[in-house]
Amino acid sequence: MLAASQLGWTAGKKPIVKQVEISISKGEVFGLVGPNGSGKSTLLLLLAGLRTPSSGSVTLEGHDLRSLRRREIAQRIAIVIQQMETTDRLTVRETVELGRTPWLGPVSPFGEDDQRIVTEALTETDILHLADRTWQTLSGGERQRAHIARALAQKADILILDEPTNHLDIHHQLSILKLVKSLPITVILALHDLNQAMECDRIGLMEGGSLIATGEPVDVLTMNRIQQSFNVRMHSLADQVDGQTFLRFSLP
Amino acid sequence: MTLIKPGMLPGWLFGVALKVTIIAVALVIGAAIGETRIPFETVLEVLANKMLGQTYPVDAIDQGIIWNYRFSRAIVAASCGAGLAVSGLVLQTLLRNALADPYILGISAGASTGAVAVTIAGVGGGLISLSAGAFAGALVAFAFVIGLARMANGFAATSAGLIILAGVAGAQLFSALTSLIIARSANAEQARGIIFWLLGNLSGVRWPDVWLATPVAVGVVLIIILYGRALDAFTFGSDAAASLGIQVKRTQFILIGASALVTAVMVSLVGAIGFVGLVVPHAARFMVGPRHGRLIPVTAVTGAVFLITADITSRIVIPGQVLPIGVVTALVGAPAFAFILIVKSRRLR
Repeated sequence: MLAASQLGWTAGKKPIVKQVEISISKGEVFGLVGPNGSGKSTLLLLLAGLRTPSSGSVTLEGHDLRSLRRREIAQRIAIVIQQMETTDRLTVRETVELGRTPWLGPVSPFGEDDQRIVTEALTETDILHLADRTWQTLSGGERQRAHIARALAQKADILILDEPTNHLDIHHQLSILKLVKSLPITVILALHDLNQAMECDRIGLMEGGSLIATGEPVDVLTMNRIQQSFNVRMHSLADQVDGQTFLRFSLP
Repeated sequence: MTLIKPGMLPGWLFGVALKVTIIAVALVIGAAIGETRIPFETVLEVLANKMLGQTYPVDAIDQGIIWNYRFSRAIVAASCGAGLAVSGLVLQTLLRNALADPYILGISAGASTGAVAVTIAGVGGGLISLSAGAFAGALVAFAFVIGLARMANGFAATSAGLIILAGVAGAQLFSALTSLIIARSANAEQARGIIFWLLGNLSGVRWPDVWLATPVAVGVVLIIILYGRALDAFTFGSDAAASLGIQVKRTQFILIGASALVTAVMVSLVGAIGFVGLVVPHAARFMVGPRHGRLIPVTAVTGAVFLITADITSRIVIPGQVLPIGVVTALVGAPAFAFILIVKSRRLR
């Protein structure tokens, strides 16, 4: 559905993303993991068409993103990037309403359907009770959920999230991940928590701008790779309650 | 007179009617108040004669003062106020900076330089009009300021404080260039006139100025209204806007071009008037919130009324003398701004 071939991006002369080959299938939850500065965020921006590749290309169902209009891309791909802040005293509902932008013309009014979609998005992210609060009164986690709600209101079939669990308490981390997995759409998300990454359908491991492995979490997150990429030791343990494996880390 | 009440009309039409009424009332008041006392009835009669084809018997001098002097002036003031306020709003939103406005960013100073270069230094050999010179100056100044901010920031996204610093530098540079041109090329008589004009002055304004100011102001405000949703999308920055389907570069190009155009035309007519572009959008946000659908028209109307009021004040505050309107906007604008800031912070608590 969404694919990158020979994808590269350089800032000045410094390569940030190098020769990435990736193909995301419809409906899958694809996790992107890797140490700080490994190029995850930039790769996500490239996949959403928000950066123009220095080399290679990103294609959406075979069409190069550069050949599509911004509006067409926005109807298909929604993204929540990090550090989206404002000084405007917008309410949460108004923020989520921005998600309808790609579907509205310059003068077409906000319809009942749009209102319903916005309310749904507020409900799904558990912030309906905050709808009338202004942006400045929200905590970091509440802002994060408002942005996710805004992206959901965009009704795109691909959702890209850059560390969506950042700032969230453990309850909301788990509910966002549960929500993301339950959505009938394609989700690409960067994650820091490798245990959370284990829940994805497939993951990609980034290191120094390159995608060094992709596949099912158990195949990608091997002891050797983790030690190499993150410079930590890893043990996998079985949970005595439900028998699932989880990962523990320690410094070498 | 029929009163329009909410509910009788669709919401948006009521809004339009209300705004047109407010501007019309302000224009009539602008025509009614001045140094020469003329009965309000006479004012209405003159306007009816001129606009509705009535034939009330009115003194020719009174008619001249009201129609050719005050009314035309009030219309230019309204156009100028609306145009400058809306371009301030656009710059604040696109640069995501509460302090942005054509005056602070040096656009007005650049327009002044362009205008002076054409009129005094004779750049273009008479082929370029004053307004075109001002427009070119405005664009050059804006490009200079943005370029400086970007270079200072290592070509990354422009940060909030830098752009204002660059604007201050640009405004100083272009003011100095203007002074240089005046000092080199103008005679004493011209210099005096120009310096008065630079401070912002509606004295010489007549009907031909209306035909330039009003279409430009109305046109630019309408264009910006069409981009209301796009401007909303910039709330969280240009990446967020792009992810919402906005063609960022094109939108910035059109909207900043429109702002520079309206600023340049207004500067070429009445000089550089400060504070309107900065204060009025904040006052409007205070009244109707940050969504541009409502914010743009309210900013335009508030700007129009603000400048008409400032013009009236400039005419009557010192008997026998006209104060430059820029002085009045700053005198009224600064305390108004302080008031807004204080009330806003109280509400937050």
